[in-house]
Amino acid sequence: MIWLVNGVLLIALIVLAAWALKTRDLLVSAMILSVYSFLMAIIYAQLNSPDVALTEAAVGAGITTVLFILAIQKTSRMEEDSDDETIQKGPLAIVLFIGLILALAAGGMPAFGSPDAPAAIVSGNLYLEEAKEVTGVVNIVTAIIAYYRSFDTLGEVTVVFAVGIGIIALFLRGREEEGDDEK
Amino acid sequence: MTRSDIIVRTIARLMVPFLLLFGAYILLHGHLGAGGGFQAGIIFTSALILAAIGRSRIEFRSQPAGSKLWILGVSGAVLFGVTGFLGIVSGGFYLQYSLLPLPFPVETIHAIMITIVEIGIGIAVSGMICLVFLTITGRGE
Repeated sequence: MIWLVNGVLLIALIVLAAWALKTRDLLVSAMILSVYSFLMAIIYAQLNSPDVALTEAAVGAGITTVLFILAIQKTSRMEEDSDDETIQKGPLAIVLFIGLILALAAGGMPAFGSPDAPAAIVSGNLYLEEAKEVTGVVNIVTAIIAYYRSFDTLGEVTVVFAVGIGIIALFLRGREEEGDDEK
Repeated sequence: MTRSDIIVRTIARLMVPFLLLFGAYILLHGHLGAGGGFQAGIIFTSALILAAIGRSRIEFRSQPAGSKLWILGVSGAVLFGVTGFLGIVSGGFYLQYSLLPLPFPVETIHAIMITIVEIGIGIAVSGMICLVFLTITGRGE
């Protein structure tokens, strides 16, 4: 039964992605991508990863859509019509070839949730066994993010920090230009 | 102001306190259930964006508060970094919390420090995403 739900969700994802590419109205496209993110969140939640599902729902369906809509509001809503509607053969062949390689590689992946998978053997099982005793934190995802992989998280926060600095630089430059205009 | 404007603004205003509460729950409850600093920061930001929609848009654009938000974002990142240095001060490695001189068992110290780190992440993310939002809305009419 759950496989039926998953199949419908995955097919809906493909249909939505194709629709978002096809439509000329960029606002419709942004809305479709928002729905796409919600479906992804449902799939993640169904795969027992509520942390990822929460992130996908908040970032993908929420903030990203808001930023898309703001960008559309600042530019133009309709995509320009292009005369060239034919499918180009070279890129299509490359995409199909890479897709074939990925499909072949997917057959060699370990089974879903397998305890013998490389990721579980090297570190995953260790975290699952000792995280609660060592860190006193029940949610093992949080334990990994903020304790075991603290350096990685510090790097992520540094990236966010760098984004802020970049925006400040743009912001201040714009303000200086405005000041010049007033003079 | 049209009628649909009133509906949108009232609903947006009503949602804000609940979203802030949910964000605080996600932030402080991240060690027990789903969630953590990143998600909580995003939820705080969406609450602030809804608050901006609830107010008059023009009023929001003229607000100079956006230029001060980087202080919030930087303080979150600095909170994380300084928390890491506490490990060195207490005689261990960077980001090692087990040697901190607190009157608790080791796992409780870990849980406390993890919560502090998550709060730092949440502050940094919400400050910076708000800054992005304000920068896009505020200029280039």
